[in-house]
Amino acid sequence: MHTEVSDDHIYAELVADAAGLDEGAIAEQIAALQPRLFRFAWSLSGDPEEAADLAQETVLRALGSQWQFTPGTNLKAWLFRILRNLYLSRRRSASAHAETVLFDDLDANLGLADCQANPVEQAVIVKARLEDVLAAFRRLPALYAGPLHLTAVEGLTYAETARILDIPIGTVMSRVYRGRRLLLTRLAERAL
Amino acid sequence: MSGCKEHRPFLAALADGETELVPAATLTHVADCPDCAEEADTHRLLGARLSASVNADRLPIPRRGRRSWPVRLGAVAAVVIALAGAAAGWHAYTGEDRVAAAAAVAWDQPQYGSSDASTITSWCERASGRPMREVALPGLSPLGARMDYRAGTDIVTVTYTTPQGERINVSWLDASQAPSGRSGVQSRMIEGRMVLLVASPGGTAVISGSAPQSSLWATAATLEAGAGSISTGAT
Repeated sequence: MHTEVSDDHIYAELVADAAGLDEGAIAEQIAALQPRLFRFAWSLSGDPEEAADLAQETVLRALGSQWQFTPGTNLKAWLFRILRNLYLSRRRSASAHAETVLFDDLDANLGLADCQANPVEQAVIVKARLEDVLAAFRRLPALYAGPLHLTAVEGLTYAETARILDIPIGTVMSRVYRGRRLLLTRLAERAL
Repeated sequence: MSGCKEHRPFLAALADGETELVPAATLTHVADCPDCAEEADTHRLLGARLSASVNADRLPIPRRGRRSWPVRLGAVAAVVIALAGAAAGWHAYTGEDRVAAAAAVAWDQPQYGSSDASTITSWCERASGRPMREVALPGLSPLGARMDYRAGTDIVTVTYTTPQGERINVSWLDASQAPSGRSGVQSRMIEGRMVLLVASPGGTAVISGSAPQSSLWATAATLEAGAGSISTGAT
């Protein structure tokens, strides 16, 4: 008698087996971080559907390579780095020049090369609704959204952010600054 | 003030507490330049608002189409693992346990650092958009504050240090969540640490930290009695 077993069922068993290994505690922590992975993925991709896929695939990859994780080190940073690599891999697949487009310095294209900060109006931020801040943030290029997310939302240091994104710490500093400037500009535009 | 241009690219790092990355000349300049000091403060404020906005955004349930099996495997993995062992973590993040959420975010570094209770209160009001009470706690020194939006609640955390350098976090939940006309202190154990929930005249606060439990209880008693409130913010 032939019994059809769905792919999902097989995969579920595989994952359950993985979760039951000695590394089960790490597996729990990995899964618990999935909402954070999703939010980071959304910041990078700008698309909730793709973000969900990225977060899920990151969890899967992490479960499959738990042995590569060194206990006592930063699990969150490790997962974010996996996610970032997956994101870049997808972009490379979509376009041979994707990395250039995404992670080269786009300041000139964004009109920020000569950005001289005018005195910033704190009132713009204070008056802005959270949904306006989020809307403006979602429109930022990944170039800026990634570093901003990791530092402002996740509270990671610039050094940790640099390791995750595989860019120099000075570049993190520059992109955080310019990302915030761009965010302020867009909030000010919405306030007009 | 002249020379601001060359220092501005470092203001975000300064606001984020990355002072080792900021040239000494910039630190000196900002100390004497009100414009740059204000812009650094604006970066702090924007960081807090950005964090609150991203965390306030409810996680959507994406539409499910036909996907390749690695993607489906990922989906299954996430579901299985989440059911198997991550319920607590997810619940603390998106669920309704505001006390656990407050206790969790309280351990993150302050987004605004100051030893002055008045300026901390002012920052908290601007970051959260709601009136806050200035609170002075006997024997404790203010260290800074942060604002988060978790578990459906606006959480403003003010961090203090004891003379021994131990940390006490007082996380104020959104006033709308505060039970009116009640007072009292409840204790809970969250991830092996005691956390106190205080219903005080100033609102509902969650007290956590590395200080001895006796110090946490003393802080709770002070807040419950309303003795720590110096003044009421604008209403």
